[in-house]
Amino acid sequence: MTPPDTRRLEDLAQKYPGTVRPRPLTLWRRRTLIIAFLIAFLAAAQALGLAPGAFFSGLSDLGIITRQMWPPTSKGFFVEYLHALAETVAIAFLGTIAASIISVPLGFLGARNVVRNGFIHFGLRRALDIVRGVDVLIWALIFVSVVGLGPFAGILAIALNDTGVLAKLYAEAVENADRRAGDGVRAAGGGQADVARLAIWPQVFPVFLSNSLYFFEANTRSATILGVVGAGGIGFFLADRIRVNAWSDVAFIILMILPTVALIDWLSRYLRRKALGRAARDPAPVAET
Amino acid sequence: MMLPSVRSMTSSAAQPSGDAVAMVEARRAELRAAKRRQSLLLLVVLAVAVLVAGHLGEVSWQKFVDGLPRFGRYIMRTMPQLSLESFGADMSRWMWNFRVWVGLLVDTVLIAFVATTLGVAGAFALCFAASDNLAPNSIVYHAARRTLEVLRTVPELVFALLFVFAFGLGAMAGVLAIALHTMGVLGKLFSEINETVSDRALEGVVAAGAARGQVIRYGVVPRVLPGFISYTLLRFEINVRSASVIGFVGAGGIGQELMFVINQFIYRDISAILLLLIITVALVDILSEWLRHRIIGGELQR
Amino acid sequence: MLEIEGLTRKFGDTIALDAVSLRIAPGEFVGVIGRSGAGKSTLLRLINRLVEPSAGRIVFDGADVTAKRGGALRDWRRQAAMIFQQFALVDQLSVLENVLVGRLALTPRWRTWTLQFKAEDRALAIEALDRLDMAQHALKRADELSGGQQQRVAIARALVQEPRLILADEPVASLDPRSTAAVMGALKRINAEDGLPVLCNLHHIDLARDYCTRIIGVRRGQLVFDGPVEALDDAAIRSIYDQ
Repeated sequence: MTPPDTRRLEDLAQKYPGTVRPRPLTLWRRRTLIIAFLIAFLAAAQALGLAPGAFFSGLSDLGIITRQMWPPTSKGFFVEYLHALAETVAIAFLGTIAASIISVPLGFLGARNVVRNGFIHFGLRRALDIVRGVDVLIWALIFVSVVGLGPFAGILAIALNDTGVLAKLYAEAVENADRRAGDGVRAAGGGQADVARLAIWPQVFPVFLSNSLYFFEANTRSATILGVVGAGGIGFFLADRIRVNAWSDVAFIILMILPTVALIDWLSRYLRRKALGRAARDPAPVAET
Repeated sequence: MMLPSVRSMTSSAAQPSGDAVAMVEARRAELRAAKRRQSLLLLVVLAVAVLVAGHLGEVSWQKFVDGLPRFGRYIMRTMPQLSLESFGADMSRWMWNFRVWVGLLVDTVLIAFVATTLGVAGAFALCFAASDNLAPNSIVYHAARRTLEVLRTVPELVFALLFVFAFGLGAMAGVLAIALHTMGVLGKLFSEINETVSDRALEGVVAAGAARGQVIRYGVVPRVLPGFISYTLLRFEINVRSASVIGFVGAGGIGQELMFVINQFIYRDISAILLLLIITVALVDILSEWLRHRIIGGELQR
Repeated sequence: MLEIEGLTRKFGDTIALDAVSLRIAPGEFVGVIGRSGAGKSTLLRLINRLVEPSAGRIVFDGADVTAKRGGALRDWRRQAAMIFQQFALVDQLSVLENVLVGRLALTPRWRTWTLQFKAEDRALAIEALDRLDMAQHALKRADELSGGQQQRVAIARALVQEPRLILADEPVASLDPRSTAAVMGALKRINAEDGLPVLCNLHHIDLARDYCTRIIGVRRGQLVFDGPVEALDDAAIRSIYDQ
């Protein structure tokens, strides 16, 4: 086929409107959206005082920092760092366990098919929303004022924040549980507690477990920074070394964090697969930080 | 009418070889014992892990018992005094710094918006090289993967600490920190979506003589875009929460003010700011949910 | 003139295609028949270079196709337009955009990123759709169409590639009888009107008899029959189908 001449082209444009030349509306709606987005982006950058000049001068400072990071050194603090890393993992572990345990009863209470009282359901869900809407670092800061500096504040912060998310996920898992199993227990004369224990629990336990393992993984990442507000873990050393511009120490600490997080990721994935079988899929990546 | 008991039924069914029942029973008992041993072992491991972690985390019962009522008192102290008769006046006393706080919260949302946009651009640029079905060669593939992995593993706050030093106090450091982390997280998620597009699905475009970039534009992007948009909006919601704390290290947003009032024990202000923050987060979530339904349900899928 | 010499393809230990040699002249409508797994599909994919040959050569009008790389390879793929059993359209794009995919190799790469094509290209695509009686569906999403309609869109995509050869891999295996007639008729018409050689895999001997001028039989990777459609008697069929 040869490209058509002008006359044939016009004939086709007449016969099939919107094909040879796109309709102005479809063309412009898209362009307007893109332009509007760009304007919004630039206006936001302007409002925040982001200036290209400051960016480029900052880049050269960043270059200096990066150069001073090499070679990474521990300056004899290796054992302390290792201990702080272990503390970080411990915070994530205990926080996750505490949140998981608290979330089990809350999950059942918050599930519409277990507790039919709409008032409890609504109140609990909103309370969880509030807990969840506040970042874990804010909770950590608050707990530092309540129980003092140290990893205990970090554990409480993670436990509280995770309860907000886990209890909601658990409640959804309970609501999604197959109802027929519950009918069977009820038909055999079981009460509401028996239904929860015998019909729902076996169905939702693997989901609970998988979610908790996934949160352990995510919490290890968040626990690395709790130390910035004094809530324990490696973050304390990291923030301190950055404050005194000891960049090679910073690099060393980051190089210790990366494999630790990778190891926990691997462990959690391995256990999840064991718990749920081959078909184990990651929960919604919403939880990932 | 008498029903035969279960036991007599099974034994009569197994009559030809009476040993079979015993064998099955023995095997069953063995399996159960093995399973019980396994569960016990698991429990012991878990208990040891909890004890070790408890030691490392400086957990003690005493601290917990002391801490709990203190947390209760803390929350009670932050509660504002509101009465029905003078609700307006109480409210305005509680929210005395409303304008400043809302301004900072707007900044927080803007930081999340700008950072998400930049992060998505970076993630989009790298995600195709980081997909095993689209990467030009294994060197580029591994380089892209490792880059995304490092960006994802380093928390925003660490980037923010570094950037505050390089770019000075303010939103620039926060935006860049969240953008880099977002790039790492979304780059990985995007590449996972890309990998769901099979080679077969791309054949029509490849066989027509399209170059790699064109195959991606025509064969991959239309298929993956709804997923990309969905993940991006979810990430935006998370980034608003992150942007609320990067101020802890001086990288802009509401965080710095929040840290100040918490550290100075200005109880009423803590609850006021947290309430405004929770409302902001909820509004952003609703907006993002609405956008997601509109875009994914609509025709903007190319 | 397409010349194939000793074309071979191995997948691991299995030989999918074993030293096949062929010549196809302009204007021929060649049906390739054989059991599934006999190597029909591999033959067509090798010609389009979707699959790399283990040995042998493909020559088109004196130029060695097997040696082509990069831009030259993409231009060859454009010339050897391919039609697939499952249509291989992009569901999320419009019919028109799917046809325009056939223009990608002829358009500067920087232009294609925004999905905007020149009016001449779009007119060409509409003309191709018009020939296949599909122009009225141009702005619909591809997945709104029936299978037979989708295959006709795929043929339109092949046409705008300005091809020298059409390779159709089981084009009607997923279609109902009426759509089958429409699609095969379209291929036959293009073959007659444009003088394009068509190489078409078919699993129905009746279809091969109805539409083809020449038949090639493939059995376990080897060429076992090559002759005019009249020469395809029961004995030949039995030998092709291994009975």
